Amino acid sequence: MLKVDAQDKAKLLDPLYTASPRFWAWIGLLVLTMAWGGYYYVRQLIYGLGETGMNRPVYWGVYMVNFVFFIGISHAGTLISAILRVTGAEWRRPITRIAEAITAVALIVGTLQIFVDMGRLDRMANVFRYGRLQSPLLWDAISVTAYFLGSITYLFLPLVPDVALQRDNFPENGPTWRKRLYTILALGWRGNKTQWLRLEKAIGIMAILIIPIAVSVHTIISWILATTVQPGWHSTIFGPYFVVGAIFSGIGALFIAMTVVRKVMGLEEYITERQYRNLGLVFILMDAIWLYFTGAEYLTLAAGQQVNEFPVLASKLWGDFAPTFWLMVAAMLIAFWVMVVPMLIPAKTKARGLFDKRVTAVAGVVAVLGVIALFTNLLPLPENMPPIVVAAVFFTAVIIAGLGLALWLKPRLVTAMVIASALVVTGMWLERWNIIVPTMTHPYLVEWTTYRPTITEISETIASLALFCFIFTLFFKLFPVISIWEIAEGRVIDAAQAQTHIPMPESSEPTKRRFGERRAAGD
Amino acid sequence: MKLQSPERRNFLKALAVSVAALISLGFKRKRLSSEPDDSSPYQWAMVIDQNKCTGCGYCTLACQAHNDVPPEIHWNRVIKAGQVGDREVFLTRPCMHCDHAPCVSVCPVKASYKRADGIVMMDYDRCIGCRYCEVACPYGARAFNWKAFTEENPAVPEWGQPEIPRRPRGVVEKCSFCAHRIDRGLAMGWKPGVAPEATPACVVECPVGARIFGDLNDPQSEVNHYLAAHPHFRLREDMGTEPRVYYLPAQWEEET
Repeated sequence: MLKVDAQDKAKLLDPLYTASPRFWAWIGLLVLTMAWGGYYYVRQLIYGLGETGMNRPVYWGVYMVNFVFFIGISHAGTLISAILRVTGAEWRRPITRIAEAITAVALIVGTLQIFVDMGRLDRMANVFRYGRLQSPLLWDAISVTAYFLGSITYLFLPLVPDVALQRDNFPENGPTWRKRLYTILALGWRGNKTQWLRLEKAIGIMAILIIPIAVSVHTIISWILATTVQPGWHSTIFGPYFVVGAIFSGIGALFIAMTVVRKVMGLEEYITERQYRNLGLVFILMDAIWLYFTGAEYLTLAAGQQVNEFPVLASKLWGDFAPTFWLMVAAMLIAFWVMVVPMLIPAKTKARGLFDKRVTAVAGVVAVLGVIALFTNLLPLPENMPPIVVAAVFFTAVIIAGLGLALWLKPRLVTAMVIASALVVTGMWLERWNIIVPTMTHPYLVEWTTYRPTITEISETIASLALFCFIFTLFFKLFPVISIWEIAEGRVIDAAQAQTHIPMPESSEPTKRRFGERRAAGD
Repeated sequence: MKLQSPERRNFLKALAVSVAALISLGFKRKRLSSEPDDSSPYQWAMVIDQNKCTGCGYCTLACQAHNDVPPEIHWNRVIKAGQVGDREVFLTRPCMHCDHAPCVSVCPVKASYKRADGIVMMDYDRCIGCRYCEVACPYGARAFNWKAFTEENPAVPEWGQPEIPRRPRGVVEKCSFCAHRIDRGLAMGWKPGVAPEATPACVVECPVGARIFGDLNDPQSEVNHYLAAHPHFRLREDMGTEPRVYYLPAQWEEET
């Protein structure tokens, strides 16, 4: 009989066997959404891919965008949790399980996108019967399969001791099928020393193996595009650019998922601000690298002015794709601001006067209206108002709103990270769109066109998101959302560290000194 | 730990042997080679004379009838290319049948393949409809069947009779240099490029003789005569695809 801590049992195990009306409402909503998407998918099966907005020369559209997006999300998990495990980051313990589950679920949903996109799904087996190793699509099939098997294993290994806990602490009136499921999945775990050694070793090996596989997955997805000679895709930066983008959007998805779980299950004691702060630092780094890569890629394209490449870039900068492109850039920049600036503000600063939250809200509304006024014709402005005035008002409003927002977010770390994550996840979907579609609409030798996804594609996208939430929810109705044994292990390590004597630092009383004043002797 | 080591060594040995076996089984040289196989005595090529082309589009219509292509798909496309003097110049574009065909190299299932006689061919029964070949083709020569073609073909019977079965919904199709006509002609002892029944329909139908088809291996073929006598170019030669379709550029002085 394995014992579980009373608080862990109450917070993590007991909710697995109860279902609130709110839970059923959520499941019902997801099922309805999936049924809606399923209806449109069946229509597509009957009438063919002509139901989508894709047509010559836009051979790949939203489905491909979703595929790259979801596989990107999958880098949340395994990669982050593996890197944190390998580097021995203690704060990883409460979030590894959520991260790993996101990976497995996102891989399932991402791969489904390819099936939906295929003209002849019935010939799927041909990929294995006649597969050509020279084709980047086959590299992709191999690396995604390897990643899926690897991350399922990597999700399952740390789950074994927890499943054994569930088996041994199974409620008396619980359904027998669950008891049987846990008994099978626990693989006879008794928690003896040999088992622990083997488990640690297996997790250690998987954590290292999974890192190159994860990097290969998104690199190869980028190579599907980059190995063609199409304008805008034939770029050497695509491999690292996609991997960084994938980890970036993955962290965003992880933040959103862990915040929802924390809120719904009341796990504030487990997932603390420490996780948000540390993961937030990785998030900021990824945002910075992403902005750097984006700038590097587009600057070289702009400077090159090549006849085929430049129209694709121009369509993003000021053409058909300008709205999605600049929305993406704005999302990433605002996310950066929201994460970084609150950290830079001194702790004692108080939001008063111009930075009061009401002023911030008004300035925010003015800034949004300013964007609309500057870039669209939707807002009727006085005839004789010069654009420079609108721009001046807009920039002032942006600065006031930005500073006020940063001050408001200073004590609200979780909120800041969730806002940044929502922006980043949306921005990364748009990034995939901005990479795939403009190249498709600007081919060689064929007339340039536009592309609008139809209701079929939009429904499928929303339903895919619902499917993602559905599998994620069901998984965590069966298994604890936080790795209980890892938390317990962390407590032991914390207790041991607390006993270690750490010498107190020398006192450093803050001295009040005016600028330019000489230091006092001996200071 | 010491006790485990022979076990581990055996495991590693078995692993190494099985990986080596898999590699030697899977990586047959021929399957991996991307060199074009030119073992056939014939190497088909086409010459399109932009001086003669009037942009009438008969080639497209003949193609649509003989290959039973739906009206929204053009295996052979007529593109306005600009002006030379006061004369309008057209670029008609069949499949280029590249020697280093991007579509062949990206296909995951070898549904798009290079024949020994140089024709890039489609296996419509194998295609999975991923459209990667379409995305990869720098000439826009490929078309996907977004929906089933069940209506009557408007080009039939005025422009000819269908000679090959319709492609199903969900596969990619493209110009085949009328490979069925060539194969049938050779079987009958006719000479493709000379006998109309053995020559691509677009070449036969062209009212001004702007298209010439023949064998690059035959020094006496019309194709070789044209290429020797006239300046010529191929589309996007900078990409190294080595197309099999040659164009004779429109000349300024010939008109006057």
